[in-house]
Amino acid sequence: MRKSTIIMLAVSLLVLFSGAAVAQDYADEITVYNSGDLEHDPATAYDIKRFEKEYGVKVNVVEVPWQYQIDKLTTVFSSKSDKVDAFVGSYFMLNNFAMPGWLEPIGFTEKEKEKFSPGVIKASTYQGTTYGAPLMLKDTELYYRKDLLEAEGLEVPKTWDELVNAAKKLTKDKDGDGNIDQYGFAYLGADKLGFTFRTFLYQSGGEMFDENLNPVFNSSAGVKALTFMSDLINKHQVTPKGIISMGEGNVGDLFISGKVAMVESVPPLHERIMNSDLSGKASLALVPEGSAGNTTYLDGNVIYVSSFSKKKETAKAFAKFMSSYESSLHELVREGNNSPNPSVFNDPRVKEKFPEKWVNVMQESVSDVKAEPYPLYLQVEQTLRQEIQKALNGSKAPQKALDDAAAQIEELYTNVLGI
Amino acid sequence: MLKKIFDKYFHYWMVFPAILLLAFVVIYPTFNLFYTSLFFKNGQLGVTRFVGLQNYKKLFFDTNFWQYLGHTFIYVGSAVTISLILGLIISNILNKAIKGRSALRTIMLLPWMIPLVLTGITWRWILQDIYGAFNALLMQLGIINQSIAWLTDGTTAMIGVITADFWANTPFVTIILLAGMQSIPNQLYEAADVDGATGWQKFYNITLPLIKPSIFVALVMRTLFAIRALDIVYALTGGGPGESTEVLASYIYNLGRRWLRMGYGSTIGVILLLITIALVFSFMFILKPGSARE
Repeated sequence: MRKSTIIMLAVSLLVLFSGAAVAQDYADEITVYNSGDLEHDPATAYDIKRFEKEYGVKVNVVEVPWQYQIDKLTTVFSSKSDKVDAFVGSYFMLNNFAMPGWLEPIGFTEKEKEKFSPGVIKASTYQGTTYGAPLMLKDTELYYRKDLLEAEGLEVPKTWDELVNAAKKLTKDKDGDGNIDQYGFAYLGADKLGFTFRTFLYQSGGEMFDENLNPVFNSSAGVKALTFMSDLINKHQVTPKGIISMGEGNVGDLFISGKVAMVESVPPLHERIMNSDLSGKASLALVPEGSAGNTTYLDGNVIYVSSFSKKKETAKAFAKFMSSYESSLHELVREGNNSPNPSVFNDPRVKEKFPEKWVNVMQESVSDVKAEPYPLYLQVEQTLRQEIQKALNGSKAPQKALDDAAAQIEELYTNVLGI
Repeated sequence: MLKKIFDKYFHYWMVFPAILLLAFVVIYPTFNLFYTSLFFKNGQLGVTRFVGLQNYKKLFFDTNFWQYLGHTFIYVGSAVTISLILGLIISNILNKAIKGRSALRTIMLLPWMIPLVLTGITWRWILQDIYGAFNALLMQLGIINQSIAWLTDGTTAMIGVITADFWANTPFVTIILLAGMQSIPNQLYEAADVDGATGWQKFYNITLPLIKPSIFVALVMRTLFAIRALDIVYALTGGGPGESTEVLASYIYNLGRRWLRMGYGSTIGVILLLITIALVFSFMFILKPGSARE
């Protein structure tokens, strides 16, 4: 046999076996639990198809309604089942799932982490290890009716006081029947009430916990935040009373149907506006500042990998793929979900889809987001939400409500964690 | 020999599969409930530690437990009572030979066919202050002139939950009472007619006593459904506003399933079980269902 032939044969065999080795690194299929159905999650559906094509891995998607995702996964993981390889969860799920050892570290390099907003990586990291691959971001923005503000000669409010003044002028009983037909302002309630409180808390210069996990949200900053939320409903009457039971979808409905002139809400309301009669009439801006700025609470979706999975490498590859530049871009242009990767906003495809002003607002807003992971998130959130609701419906003063919440959480941490 | 034994205990062999199933789905879980209540068991922390009766001691000082117990009694008492009264009225109407009776019976069953979670979600929309059909109806009728945020106030939210519950479950009570009424011989009513009894007298002296076993069954089943009601509360109010519609069933669910505090959750489960057994026995004592036909 000629020498050149032998060399070519050797090289071919090397390529063949290395290709086979790479292929062997990935499983034939993985199971991913998605938060919600793919029909309403077109970007995720599109990127899953891309992953399947590029990696030759079949992705079996189990669609779970968002509200039941935690319960369902808790049942699966507490039985140490390997039936879930990866799942789409929220940033706030990190502590609850990392503490009992249910999550596998994603394995980002420092270079890979740098592409994300610092706040996002911090929210995906538990005790120094990054467990979440950021998929998209839900920061809070101010959505407003340009036409209604212009009709009243109002500028877009930049501070809390300006917000109240504008909201008062925009709250109207249009047909004189004694019923308010248009409210000036609304914020997210129901299961997102705690998120709303945190946004106002951070803007007042407050924190949820100190470094020793003592609750400090009942500080003067916290009382200021909760009083502001309560006054909007009860004193200024610019926010519907029923807001405490209205979540993201309901508040979006109120805005789209013209029942509220301004809302502090989260993406993908952008997308809903662009596909509705409000296109051209509505716009967005940074949320009005409190005394300490306009930081907003970080919510959004992350891909986590199960530590019980027998296909961890494939699941991690999937997680990293879904948090790549292209996938983030698709989340933004196909669904209107903000990107945890700020450079995505400079992409021409984003500028083609959204008005320039919106892109600037989104880019600036995502750079100032905050989340504080802490243990026993679900119980803390429930306790906080219950007390906030009591303050908002007038059955407790804001200070008392927050003091009671803080006391209950301290007792919880003492009883359960022994701290 | 084997055949002799088999023949002698044939009736036991026949019920053995059912007993096995019962043991699997009732006896074992009940035993496990009592057993787990003696432990500090937290699935989140991966800790299981025997604590004896400490969980029960903790219960006495748990203000949430007492508050939610009170809510449970209000919820169960109101929903069951209203269901029973409405069930009696509706079954009495459906027992008569009225036109369209079959169609009415079918329509009457519709709320019961809807899954309870959907019932909760539907009523959440109905009671919503801005878009809700209930406010719209009341304003059309001139009863109110401003929308009421039913789910924002604790009292009205509880009324909403109770309403959704009896709306969904009254058909079940009606069916059971109707079945009881239909087994009453007509001759009794005919004899009463001869004696000049009024409609109310016939109902009170004939119908009610003879449907006592059916009332007992309806009362027990209805109470069991209500006392473990989680779906409607969860879907309609989530236990809010504040904690005003939290009941023991939702507390157990949160403790055991969401927060994985299985030991303490089991303790409350045991208490709820004992309360349920006590209620059933008290119904038996008060109603004496076996005495109906004597």
